[in-house]
Amino acid sequence: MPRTTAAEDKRDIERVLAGDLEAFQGIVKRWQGPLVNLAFRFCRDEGRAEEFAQDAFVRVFRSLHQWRQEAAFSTWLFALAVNVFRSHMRQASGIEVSTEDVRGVASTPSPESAAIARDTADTVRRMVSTLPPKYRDALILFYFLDQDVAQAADCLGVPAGTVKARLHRGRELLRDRLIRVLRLAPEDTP
Amino acid sequence: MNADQQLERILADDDRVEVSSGFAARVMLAVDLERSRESVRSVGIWQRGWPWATAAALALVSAMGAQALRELTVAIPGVGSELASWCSLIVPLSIVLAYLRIGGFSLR
Repeated sequence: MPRTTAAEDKRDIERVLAGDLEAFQGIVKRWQGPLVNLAFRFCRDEGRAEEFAQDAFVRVFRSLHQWRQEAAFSTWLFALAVNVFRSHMRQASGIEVSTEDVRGVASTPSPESAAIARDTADTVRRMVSTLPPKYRDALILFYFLDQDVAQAADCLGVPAGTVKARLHRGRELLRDRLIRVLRLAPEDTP
Repeated sequence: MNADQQLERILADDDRVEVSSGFAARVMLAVDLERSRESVRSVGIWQRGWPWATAAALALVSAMGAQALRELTVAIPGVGSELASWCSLIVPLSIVLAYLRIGGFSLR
């Protein structure tokens, strides 16, 4: 994260805590992109991603006084957002994309190989949200948010070794499913 | 390209989602609403809580005062202990009742 952003965050947080609500807009504008994108990795639905991110921002506003400045604001923000998104995903577990739905997308016949490749890629990304939460969260932070292992560990509140193990296991699960999808797709094509 | 490499590429190349133009304004509205709710909650707790807290404190002070008054009136020659008890009860009770009468509107 650029140093200027960190300084701007700190300045805006101090203003918000002093009662200036408008200063929160600066935080929202700087972090709306990363937060909506992070939410999208959880639910794979743009409309819901904005709802998730909005709730995360409201939670950030409520908890702003709890940020101790020991961790970077971004780490604290993402940790809080991941908790909000997890809880939304738990509540909406009925709407969550199942592995079977995901396979359905992959087996959609497509005459163009580029379209097939795109479908496969989309299928795999959707599969991430069907993984058990501990693997899903680690993969989302590491791949989609471009965090390194240490940052992901801070966000998830677990040791770096645990994140590595979860990434490894998560990749294994995804790879197995990817192989299955690649095998299934041509068979289902008429 | 093997499955591992393909997986790495797929995960790394994920498209970014565009945030809708009114998103920040919606968030600020939600935050403003949340702040209003919080202030209503805290005012509500304060408005409901302070009369009871004051009444409890008044009752405690009155009870202590009643005991002291009783001891004082008993020591006066010619005043019976029963009368002393009544006096010491009536004075603090009057104070508490007066308070409840005045603050009664907020005790409902």
